[in-house]
Amino acid sequence: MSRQTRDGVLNPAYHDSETLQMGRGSAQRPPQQNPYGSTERTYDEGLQASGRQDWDSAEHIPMASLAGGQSWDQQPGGLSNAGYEWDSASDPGGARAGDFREQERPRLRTKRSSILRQLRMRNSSLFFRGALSSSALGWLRLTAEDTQDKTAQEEQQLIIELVAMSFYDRVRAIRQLPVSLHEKKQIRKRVLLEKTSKKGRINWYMDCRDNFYLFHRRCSTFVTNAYHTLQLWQGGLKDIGGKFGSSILSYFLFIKWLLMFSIFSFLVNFGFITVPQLFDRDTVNNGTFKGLELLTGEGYFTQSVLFYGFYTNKSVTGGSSSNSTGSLLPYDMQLAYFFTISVYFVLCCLSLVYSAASSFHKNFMSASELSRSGRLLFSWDFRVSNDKAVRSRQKNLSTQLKELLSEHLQQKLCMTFDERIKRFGRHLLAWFVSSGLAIGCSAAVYFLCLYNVNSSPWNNRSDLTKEASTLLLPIVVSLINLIVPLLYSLLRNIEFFTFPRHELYTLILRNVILKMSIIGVLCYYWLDKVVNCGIPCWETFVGGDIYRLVVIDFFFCLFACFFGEFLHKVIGTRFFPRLGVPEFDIARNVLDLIYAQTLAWIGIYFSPLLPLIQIIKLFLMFYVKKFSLMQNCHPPQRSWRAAQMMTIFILILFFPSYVGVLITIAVIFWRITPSSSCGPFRGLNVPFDVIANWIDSITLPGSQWVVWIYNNLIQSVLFFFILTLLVLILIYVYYQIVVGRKKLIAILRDHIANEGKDKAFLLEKLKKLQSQSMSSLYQDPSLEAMGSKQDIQDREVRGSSQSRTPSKGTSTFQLGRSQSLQETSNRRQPASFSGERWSARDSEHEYVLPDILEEPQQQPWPGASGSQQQDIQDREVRGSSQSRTPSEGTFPVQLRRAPSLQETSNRRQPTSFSGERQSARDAEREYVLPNVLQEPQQQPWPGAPGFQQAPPNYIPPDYPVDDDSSMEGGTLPVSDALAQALWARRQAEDEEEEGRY
Amino acid sequence: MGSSASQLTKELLSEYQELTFLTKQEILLAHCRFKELLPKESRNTMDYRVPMEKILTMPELKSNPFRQRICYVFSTSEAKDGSLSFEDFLDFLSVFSDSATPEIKSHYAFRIFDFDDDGTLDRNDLVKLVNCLTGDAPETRLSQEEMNQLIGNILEESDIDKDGTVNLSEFQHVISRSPDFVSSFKIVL
Repeated sequence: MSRQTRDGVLNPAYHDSETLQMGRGSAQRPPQQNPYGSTERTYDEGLQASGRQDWDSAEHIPMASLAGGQSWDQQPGGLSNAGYEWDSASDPGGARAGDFREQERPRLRTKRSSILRQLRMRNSSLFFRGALSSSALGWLRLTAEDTQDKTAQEEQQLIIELVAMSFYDRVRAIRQLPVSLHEKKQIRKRVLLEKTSKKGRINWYMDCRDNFYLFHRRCSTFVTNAYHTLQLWQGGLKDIGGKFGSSILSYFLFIKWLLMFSIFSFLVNFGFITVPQLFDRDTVNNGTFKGLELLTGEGYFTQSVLFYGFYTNKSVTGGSSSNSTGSLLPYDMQLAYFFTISVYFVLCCLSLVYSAASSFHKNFMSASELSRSGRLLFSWDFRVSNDKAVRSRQKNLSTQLKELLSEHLQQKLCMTFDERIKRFGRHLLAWFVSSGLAIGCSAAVYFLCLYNVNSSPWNNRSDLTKEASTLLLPIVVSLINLIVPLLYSLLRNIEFFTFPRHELYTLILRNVILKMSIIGVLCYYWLDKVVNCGIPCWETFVGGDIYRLVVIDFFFCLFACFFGEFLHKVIGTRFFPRLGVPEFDIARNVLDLIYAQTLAWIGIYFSPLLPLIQIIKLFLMFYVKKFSLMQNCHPPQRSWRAAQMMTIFILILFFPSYVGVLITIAVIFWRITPSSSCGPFRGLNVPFDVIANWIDSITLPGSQWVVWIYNNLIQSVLFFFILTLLVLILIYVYYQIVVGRKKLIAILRDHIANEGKDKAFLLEKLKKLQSQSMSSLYQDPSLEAMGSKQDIQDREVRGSSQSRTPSKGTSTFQLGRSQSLQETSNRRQPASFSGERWSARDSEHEYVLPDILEEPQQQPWPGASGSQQQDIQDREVRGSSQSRTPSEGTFPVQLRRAPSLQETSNRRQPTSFSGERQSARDAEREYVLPNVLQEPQQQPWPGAPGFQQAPPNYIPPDYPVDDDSSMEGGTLPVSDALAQALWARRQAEDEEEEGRY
Repeated sequence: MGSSASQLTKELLSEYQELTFLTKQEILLAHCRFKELLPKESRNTMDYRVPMEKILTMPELKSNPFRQRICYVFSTSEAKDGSLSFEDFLDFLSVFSDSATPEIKSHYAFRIFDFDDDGTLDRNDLVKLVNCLTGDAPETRLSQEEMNQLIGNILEESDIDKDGTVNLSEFQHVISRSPDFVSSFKIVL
């Protein structure tokens, strides 16, 4: 840390203006783009070793740091000097044709660019084997030394980029490199070294920023460390995950989430409602505590802070009496009660919407297209560490895969009309039974409630039996909640589902309907019957009811654990082995939790401390359930799409549950008259009058805006109308965007598939040609190299970079190919394509062949932003165009790039750009335009014409023609044939496409 | 850097913290656990490599079907014997930790599943992967026909450029669509 501090902060890292510029460039890119930094090295162990020597060698670092100490303009120059000198030294007559290692260099230099995606691309090129013959591998081995060179340079580039990053970004970028820790250490060391070697003028802004990041990082590590030590149930969760996998784990995580929620609501209510109330000495509890209250919430508790009725409607001042001479500011309990409850619900809404949206986004929108087999395969649960559990999972997975495969076949089966009718009838029957049950239960609860409220004489609550009789309603409700779901799951025997998923969804739906209708009936009873039957403090009465429901529900959960699971296990293992060990029913358990949470939300108004009960309940529940699970249950047979199910549960928690509660609370606030003898809202017509009174009483001069907002916004219908309209418009816009993106995705997919086909086709051709000419060319290294894709790729670039050298064939091929691809991508553009797509295209035809031959990683995924690629590309060009003096050798390299990047390089020229260089660039433009740019514009399909116009011996006119092509003469037929074949194929494909549209 | 101290120095600790996704506690715990794997006489050396057999006795890895692949992927040993140094071990824990990004997780998952280390998941890799997942027992193994069909299905939906293999970016694309991956690609000490 100490070294870190010194280097990171005191170091004038960003002081060169050019570096600054670069820093800006890299800052635009999110750091997670970096991970594929130097994959190549890790993949190839042999290379790695040699690469490491490179790291450690003493000469390397000083050079790097020297270069780093200068401006950006000089950095690449310093690094690539060797290559450049070699380049100028190698005239056409040189014996370079055979030496691929050296030829690779110019390419490397031109390809100097960020550490990002192309590294990955190149990496895969190294390890591609697929259709290539063994000689290709031989060639790979031959070029191992080159790749070492390349690796070193790439690392250098990486270091440069890292140095330019801000401290925070750098830490993240290094951390996300997919290389071993040892290498990360080395990289970090080098970056720090480079930074220390840079001394420049002091930049306060950067200094401050670094300081801030350091501070921020320390704080955040402290917080995360503290959080990790505080993390609840870490070990317990690990055990569960290890034995039962993540699906059951998700249930326990849900408990934890709800617990956090309850703790939050408890803190809010306790802090803003209860604590002020405790300062009020006027209201005193004079009941006696008997014990049964814990269960019923009656007696002593009715006169306590637990319930609404106890709270005062005055302003709390902290003084001993109600005259407001206390030392503290007056605290208006009415307002506090109102605002705490409403703000709490708003916060709940935000957090629910946020978590529902993010989990929906993660699990549904992006997961839509993958079938189950892929999902099963790639998501092995690495948490599972128990040997038995592993074996049972393997078995489950195997049966599921088998089922899936047979399902695939069965899907094609059609049902006859009779069968369909039968099936429909069964579903209808099942729905009839289930809704009948739900209606019956609700009616039963309703009549029980009526009986309860008519018979219960709330005047003499002291009687113990009377008090116990209040428990009747919650017990009945809990019984219904326990038994009816079991009956529902028996319906499985009548119904028949093709997909188990549908069965699960139906079951959940029915359970939700049952629970919500019961709660709905209860709410109606509370808000209509109880309010109107003359109970002195009906809020406390309702609070008591909810309290009992919550508590009794908890006991029933415990009973269900014991009788349901434990007895089931005992019977299943001892007496009826056919019954087996019970399976943990996640859906039912989660729905129980949701039901309890709904009750707790409704109860918050009537009993502000209900979250405390909820906290205790959830806390105990975790241990009970865990114990029962570990002792009695076995892991679920089917793979449970845990993540998706969790989303559904959160949505259920939001939609019927939270929205229902919100409606109830709104009705209470705006429509129901509070009881006149107790509670904070006594004497008011409806609780919302608190706000109206408060607004009227505002006299402070500075707070007129509150009044204005209230009068013009809150009370205005027009405002809400406009708001709704805006939201609707926004939804429509986003919907249109989604539709557009879907189309774009389809097009891009098509494109990728086409590129893939090209690749396969080229490879096949290559193989064929190679096998044809194998015997004659075996001695010729340059042709043997043609077999290697790696080499093709080199050549493609080299082709352009050294078109004045003997390898005419390759260069011509390159030209034709480049044009044709450019054109294809032109033709495939729909007219409405965005700029994103265009920039993607630019970068794509920059790497024309690598794209095709390796893999289309350059293809932007629909989500990937093309502008990043553009940026990478820009920088790359900048690097190459600045790093070299205007020797002729640079022109060809620019050849392919210049058309698309002319503008960017213009824009990015540093001011110090010498006239000489400028002229070089001009010359290059002159060269480029006639040859590459013009043709595609004039001809609809210039790839082939371009190729045909350029006969095999075609040499760009600007370049000295060297006839000494004996060494590479043999390559011509190969590249010729390839280009021709590709063109033919392209044409065929195109016709086919036209036919389709 | 890697000095001969049985205790991690403060500097080293903060460096590890910076370079991995682990918290201080996790690194210390990892250090303790790693020391238990070392033979007594070499407890004090940091750069001792624990052989793969020893690593695989850890309860977290003992029954994992991919345990050997994990060792090979994270080992930086020149002999390619799957032995792990402490830093390799940290690397392993970092990738499998809670806070590692999905990108890095999927990158390493790809390498774990790439049995022949050739940079793509081809048919043979997928066959091995399926066999690892279904176990060795004859009753759980898929038949040849089922296997072909399954792999055909997988390639059909994952192999976007239709070249017969799943490469890293295709794999990451698939992974980004299977939300369970990130939560299940975890190993906690």
